[in-house]
Amino acid sequence: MATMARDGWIALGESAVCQRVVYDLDWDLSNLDAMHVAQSPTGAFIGMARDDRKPYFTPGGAKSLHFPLCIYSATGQLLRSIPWDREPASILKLGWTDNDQLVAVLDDASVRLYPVYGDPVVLSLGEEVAKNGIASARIWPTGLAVLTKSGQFTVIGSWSSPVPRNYLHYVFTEQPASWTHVVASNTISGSVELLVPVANYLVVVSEMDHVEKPYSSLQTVQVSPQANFWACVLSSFMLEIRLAQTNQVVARLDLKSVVECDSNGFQLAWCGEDAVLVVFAESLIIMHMSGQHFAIDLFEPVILTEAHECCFQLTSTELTMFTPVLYATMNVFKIGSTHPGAILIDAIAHYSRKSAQSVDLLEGLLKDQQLRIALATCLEAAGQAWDPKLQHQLLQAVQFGRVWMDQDVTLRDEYSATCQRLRVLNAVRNRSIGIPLTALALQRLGYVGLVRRLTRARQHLLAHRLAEYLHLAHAKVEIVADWAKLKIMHSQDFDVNVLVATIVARVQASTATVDAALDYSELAVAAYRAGQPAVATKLLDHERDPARQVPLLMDMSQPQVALVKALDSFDRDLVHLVLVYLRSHLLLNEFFKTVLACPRAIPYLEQYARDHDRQLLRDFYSVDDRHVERGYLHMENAERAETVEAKLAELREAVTAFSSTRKSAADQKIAEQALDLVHEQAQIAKDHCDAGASTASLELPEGKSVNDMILYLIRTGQMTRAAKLKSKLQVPEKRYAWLMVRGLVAARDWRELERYAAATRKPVIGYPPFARELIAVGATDEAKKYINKCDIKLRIDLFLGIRAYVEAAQVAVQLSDMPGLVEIRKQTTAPADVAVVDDLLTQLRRK
Amino acid sequence: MKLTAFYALVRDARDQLSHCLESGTGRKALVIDKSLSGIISRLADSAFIKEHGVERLSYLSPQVPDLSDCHSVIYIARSDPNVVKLIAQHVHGALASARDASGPTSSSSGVHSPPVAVSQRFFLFCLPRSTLLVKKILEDDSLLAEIDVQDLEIDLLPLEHDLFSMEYPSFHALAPMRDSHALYQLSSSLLALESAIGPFTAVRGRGPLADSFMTMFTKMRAAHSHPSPVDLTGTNRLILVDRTLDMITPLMTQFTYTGLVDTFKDIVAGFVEVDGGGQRPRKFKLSMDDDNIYCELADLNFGVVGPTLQRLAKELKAESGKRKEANTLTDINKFVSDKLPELQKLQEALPIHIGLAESVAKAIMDEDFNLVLQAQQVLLASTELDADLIDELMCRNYEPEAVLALICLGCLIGCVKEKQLDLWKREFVQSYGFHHLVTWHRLEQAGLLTATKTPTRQWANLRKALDLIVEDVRVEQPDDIAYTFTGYAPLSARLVQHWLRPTARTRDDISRLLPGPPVEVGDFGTAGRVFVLFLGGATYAEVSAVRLLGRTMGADVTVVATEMVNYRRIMAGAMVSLT
Repeated sequence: MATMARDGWIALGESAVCQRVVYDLDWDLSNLDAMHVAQSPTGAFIGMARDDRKPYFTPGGAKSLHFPLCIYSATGQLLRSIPWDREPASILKLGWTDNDQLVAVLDDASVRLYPVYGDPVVLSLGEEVAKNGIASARIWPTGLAVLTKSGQFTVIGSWSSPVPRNYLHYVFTEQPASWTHVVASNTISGSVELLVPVANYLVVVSEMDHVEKPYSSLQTVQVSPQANFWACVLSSFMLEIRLAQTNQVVARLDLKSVVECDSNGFQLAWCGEDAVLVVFAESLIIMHMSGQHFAIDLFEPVILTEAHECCFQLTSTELTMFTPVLYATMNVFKIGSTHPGAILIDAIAHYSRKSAQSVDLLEGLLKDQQLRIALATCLEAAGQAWDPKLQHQLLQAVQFGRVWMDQDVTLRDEYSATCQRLRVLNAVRNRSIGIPLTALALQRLGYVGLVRRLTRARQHLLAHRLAEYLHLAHAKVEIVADWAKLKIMHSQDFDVNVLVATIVARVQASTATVDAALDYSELAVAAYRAGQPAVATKLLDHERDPARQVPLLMDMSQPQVALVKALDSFDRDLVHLVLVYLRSHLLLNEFFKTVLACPRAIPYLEQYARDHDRQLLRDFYSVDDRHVERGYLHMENAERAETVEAKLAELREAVTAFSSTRKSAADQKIAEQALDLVHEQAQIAKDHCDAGASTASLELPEGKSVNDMILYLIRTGQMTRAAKLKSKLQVPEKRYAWLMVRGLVAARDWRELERYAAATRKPVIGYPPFARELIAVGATDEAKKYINKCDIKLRIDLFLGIRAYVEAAQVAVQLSDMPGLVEIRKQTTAPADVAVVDDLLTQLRRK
Repeated sequence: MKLTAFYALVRDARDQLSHCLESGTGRKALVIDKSLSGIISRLADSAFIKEHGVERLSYLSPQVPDLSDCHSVIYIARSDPNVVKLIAQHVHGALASARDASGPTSSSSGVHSPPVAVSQRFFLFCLPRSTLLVKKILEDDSLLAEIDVQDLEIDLLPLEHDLFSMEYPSFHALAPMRDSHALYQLSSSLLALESAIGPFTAVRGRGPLADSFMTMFTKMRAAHSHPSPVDLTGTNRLILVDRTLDMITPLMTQFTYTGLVDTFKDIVAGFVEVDGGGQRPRKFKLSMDDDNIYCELADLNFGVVGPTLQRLAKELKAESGKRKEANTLTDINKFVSDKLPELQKLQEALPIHIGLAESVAKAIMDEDFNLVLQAQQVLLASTELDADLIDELMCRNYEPEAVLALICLGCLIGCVKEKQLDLWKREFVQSYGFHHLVTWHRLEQAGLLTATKTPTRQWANLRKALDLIVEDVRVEQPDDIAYTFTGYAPLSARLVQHWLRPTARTRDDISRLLPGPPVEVGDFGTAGRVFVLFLGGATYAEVSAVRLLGRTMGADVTVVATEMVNYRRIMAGAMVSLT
């Protein structure tokens, strides 16, 4: 077993790297070096296009002038061919995203993302890049960077929000020969960083900043997958592995001493975090972290693709994989290993030969209490093994050893989990599926991630079976959704009802156990795009979330249905969205007709229009004969109007609106009065201007109400004008009297106030307001005159309010109010007052 | 256990805010919609904001601030189209000036070229959720690629450990039931609360608004199919207070400390403006959690605030005096470490509360205020409105909010005839401006200004059945919720009292006298937390009343309000705004 397990091992000191041909390739291609080739991070897909900058000789001749953009499976099956003969731009670089989309950077500064199946997404790198042209580009699973011919970087940091960021603050005067990137999650700056060797520097460029580190002259740098190490090739062809943090050299190899070096075009790639691969024209060198190296001769051009935990090597005939041999496998199978795991394997070998030594070995393990370790190690090695036969044998060894041990729950669970994992791995590694997935890659991807990948590769049946086997309910929903979309696309001639029924039945069968419902709107979008609006509408009826339904219904030109659905959701913003859409797509009268047909929508329209489009609201009220409402709207507009003319116009509109029904007669009158008031105000302002300098010291009327206006007129002595306004606006006598008092007091015109008080035998509001207003402005002496005219019962309090104790006491005496007088005496403090009050007190006592 | 819901909310909200402030790199600028500043500062102080690398903080306004030196600009706003349009303008401006700045320098060469204009990144956080409309506006403005739009899911603002507010202007939206959006918003907020504290097992309430809320809430709960949250601490019960059943209380003058401070000093998101000691006024945070003095004062009838403050000042003096008594080093050390920080906090807060109490006292000494107060009490007790007073107040241009509130109260009690109301309308618009015709119309629509056609005994019956007028209130040791309005027991709180401990008599009276339909879900029982949800806003005095109910009935009660209201804010909300 051990010799079989060591097949393809390249020993590098204490460690080893395994070189394994994974698949023979079915394609018929010979000259890969004239192509752009890119393999996806899991190795499952290979993108290929002609490199226009390289000469291409075909045996066939003319037909290959326009080579299409192709997507192959890892076994070399052509999955998709995208014609390129009519494309205006040529491809500069190919790469893959972490969710299996082929990325093509074109020389017109656009980027296209092709899913394995389905329509591409086109992104632009911006005008700057287009203007300056792209010199070089790098694509990695989470983003890309381009260096323009003007020497600036532009970076897309994530595919989820693919916004190009221009790193403007550093400009390279000369095009660097090579550069590399560090993904944002591995940098301190939090942005993608670029490492560029320039002369004796290494320039580290981040979005906000740059650092120039002195460095012995470098040709190429490659950052390890987890960014712990840098692999560097110096100009002297010295290969170095350095610690990224401290720049300390971990291992070093003079490449010139091993192979013939050729500075144009060598490839440098990491194999996990353990070893580095360098490919020259005729040889491949592996250098391990320990400094041990190994050279392999090459007979044809190869292309290296660095994955997270391994490295793929592609030739025109086969796909090879380099993987570091992991500890468990190493311990079990290393020649001369004395690890318990190795002993267990030894024991089982003896057992199969019916040798008694097997018992001795097992008892030895038991005695040293190492059987548990041996079992765990073998189990782990089984999980890492590629060959199903080897997996089987290792698992058998574990079964054999377990008999000797007490029940161990952890081990049992681990055993069944490993079996499950291996079944999945073997299924996808099978040539018919063709995903060269390592155990570590599966761990990183997760089962759900794997199932998604299978779905994207349209392996629906396997995906569904895996989801079933692994109890991934939510993933199952996704698979069914994807299947349904495909079904819709390829069923143009089906009966709509039958199609929808088939889909719904299948969906319900798959989602019966899950509470998360399927996103029917997504299916509807697919149906609509596939030119099946009827299917889309039918599918949308099954959608539960209106926020998903409504925008789609609008896109599908069914705004009426969208409006009803939005109203059903009670979500105001959704209703407003539909209304805005309708408004911009319909003529005004059609728009109103649509809204009026749906009375529930009217309050929403009113509300939206009130805040955002008042003209629309005005028109709506007119159309709907809601004149009173329109009147109020005009009143509101008048208040907001900035010029007198606009104000007058709005008020006139209000008067007309109110005049349309008798019900609003009172409001009409108010609007008319408002009109009169504004006229009057305008007139006064005009007079004011005409009067010029003499009255310039008088401020213009402030405030907006009739009260304010009359007050102003009285305060400035324009009595006739005030009286005119009073009669015109039918101000009641009582309020006018109040305003008179307030105005005259504010003007401190005591004589006029007296005249006004005397004009009638008794003012309609009585004398207390006179007194109170005067007290409020501190004119106590004036106030006293009016207090004496007030009702005698009020006088004491009023006098006390202005600390006129003597007067208050006198009133108390008149009223014979003994308790009141005593109270007044208590409050009196001034000695002169005290004497008088005391006098009055004795006077009253005597009475 | 009492504090779990509060802390869960605070923690979630702070996490959200933290996430928001962590977006972007480099120098950050934060631009906040002014109406949200209270909410933000309630959750995070300036140190918290600085910790996250925010170097510039400004309020959103039509003037574009120069933020070109910042790498990331983070906007926080409500999902309001007008606000979003304003932000779009800002971003366009910033992009244009960045283009101008980078244009000439981009051709400069040389490896050591100096940094040119920064490439800025923009983030928009929508409270509580971004909407499709917001995205559409940005898309139409071709800014969707430039601005990273995200949600800032702060649904409920925790004001006190037992008081959460949506801070959503809802009174006018809900009361006339024109805008179901407020209900929608409230339902989502309550769903968010449910996922933090566990589901509500029983609901009680009454009224059309409570009913439609319940319908919407149930519907949304079904549609969202949240994974059932883990509930470890017993049951949660919900009481729905429908504001349309009790519009009277919010229009009354509150008489608790917080209520009066709110009326005269306007509490916004738990902050009140206080004298900054010669400088410009500063915001003071009212929080029972960090302020022991406020904790004592908050629910007191204002009549006992003065003596309480005196007592607290004396105690504080005595405590500080103890420092002199501490002779040995250990004593002094103990004093400094145990008592001093607490004392310093008190010494800081005491003068502020004294200042607040003084300004409230000054305001309530006002003669007109007392006339209005008297009129309110007469109105409630004897169903009569002093018409002359209203006329006189209008002649003197007394605060229009107070006048309107009094007229509305009269209408709600049912003692204003149509002729009188028409007359007042004319007088009011002449006195305060013709644009108040619109204000009047809005209040009519809200059902606050309806004339009584035929005399009814509705209010008198209700008053009698639910003991709404309490003659002798003990303000020092309150035993009845009527202490909060000095004699009037808020109807809303009486309903809460009933649902907490229903009797056959009140049940009959309520179903006879108040509009339905009743909302009854589940078995209410007597165990577990109670959440009292005020649909359409709550006053601080009502919160105090509910707190008293919780204390006397031994229930763990939390108030959730759509907003905090008082008569001023309600009336001002109906007036034409000039924005």
